[in-house]
Amino acid sequence: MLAEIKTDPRLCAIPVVVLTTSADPGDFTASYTAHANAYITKPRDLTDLSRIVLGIYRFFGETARVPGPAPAAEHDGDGGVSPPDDPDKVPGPRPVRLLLWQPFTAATVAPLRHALTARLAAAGLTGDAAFDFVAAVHELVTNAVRHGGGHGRLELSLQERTLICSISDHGRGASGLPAGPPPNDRPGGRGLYLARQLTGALLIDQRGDGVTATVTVELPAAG
Amino acid sequence: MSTALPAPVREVLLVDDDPGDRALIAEAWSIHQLPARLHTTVDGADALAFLHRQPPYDQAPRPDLILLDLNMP
Repeated sequence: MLAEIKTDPRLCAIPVVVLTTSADPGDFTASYTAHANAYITKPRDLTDLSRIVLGIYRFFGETARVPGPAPAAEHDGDGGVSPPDDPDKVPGPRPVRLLLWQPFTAATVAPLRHALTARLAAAGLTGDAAFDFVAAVHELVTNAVRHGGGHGRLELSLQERTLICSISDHGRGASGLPAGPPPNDRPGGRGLYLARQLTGALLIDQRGDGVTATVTVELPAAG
Repeated sequence: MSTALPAPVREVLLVDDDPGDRALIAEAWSIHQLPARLHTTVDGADALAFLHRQPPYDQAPRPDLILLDLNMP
C-alpha cells in the first residue's frame, strides 16, 4: 500500500504517516525505505493515541508544509475568487468536527438512521428537532437509493453550533431533483420537498457524476 | 506578506483494517476537534479507490495527509 502510493506520480507527494502496532525494526526500516514520511507505533490506549494524533496533526497541519491540492482537481469552480478575510476573525476556517461518515446502500438505510440518531443525540440534538432532522435525512437517503444509483454516502459534521448533513449519490442527474411542491400522490418524488419542509434549509449541488443534498440544523442553546 | 502560507491540512485519509483502531483514532480526532476531515477506509483496495476517486468515492477529496496502518493484509 505504501509503495503503491509512493510510486504513483499523482499520489507520491501526499505525506504518509505509517501508524502501526508493529514495533519490528524491519518494518520501521522498510517503511522509510519506501518513503514513509513518518513511522509511529500505535499505542493501545486512547489517552496516548489521542496525544499522538494531536502531535501528528500539529506537525503536518500547522508546522510542516504539505503540497496541498493538485491544481487540476480542486476549487469547485465558483470563479476562483476567495471572499475577503474578515479582519475581526482569526484566519483559517471555522473548525469542523466530523461526527459520522458512512457509505450506504438500500440494505443499510435503517442502521444508518440509528447511527445518525445516536450521533445527533451525542451532539445535543434531541426531541422533535432531532426527529425532524432524522426524517429529512432519511428522505434524502431514500431518495439517493431510489434515484441515485442505489448507494451513496452520508457525512455529518458540526461547525460551531450548526449540524451539517450531506448525502451524496451517484445518480444520473435530475430524476429525483425537483425540490418544489411534490407531484400529487407520488410518494417517491417527495423526498426533497419533505426534507425542505422539515429542516427549512436544503442545499442541492448537482454535478455530472451525482447529487449532493445538504441539510443543516442549529443546535439548541446550551443549558 | 504574501499568500505563501503553508497549505492547510484539511482532508486526512485513514487506512486501517481494525475497526477498534479506526474508532479510537476517530475518537482522538473528535477529542481535539481537529479542523480537518478524517476519511476512513478499511484496506488497501478501499484506500486506492478513494485516492483514485473510484465508486463509491467518486467525489472524494484529495487527502493532504494519509495515516496508514502497516499491519493490514
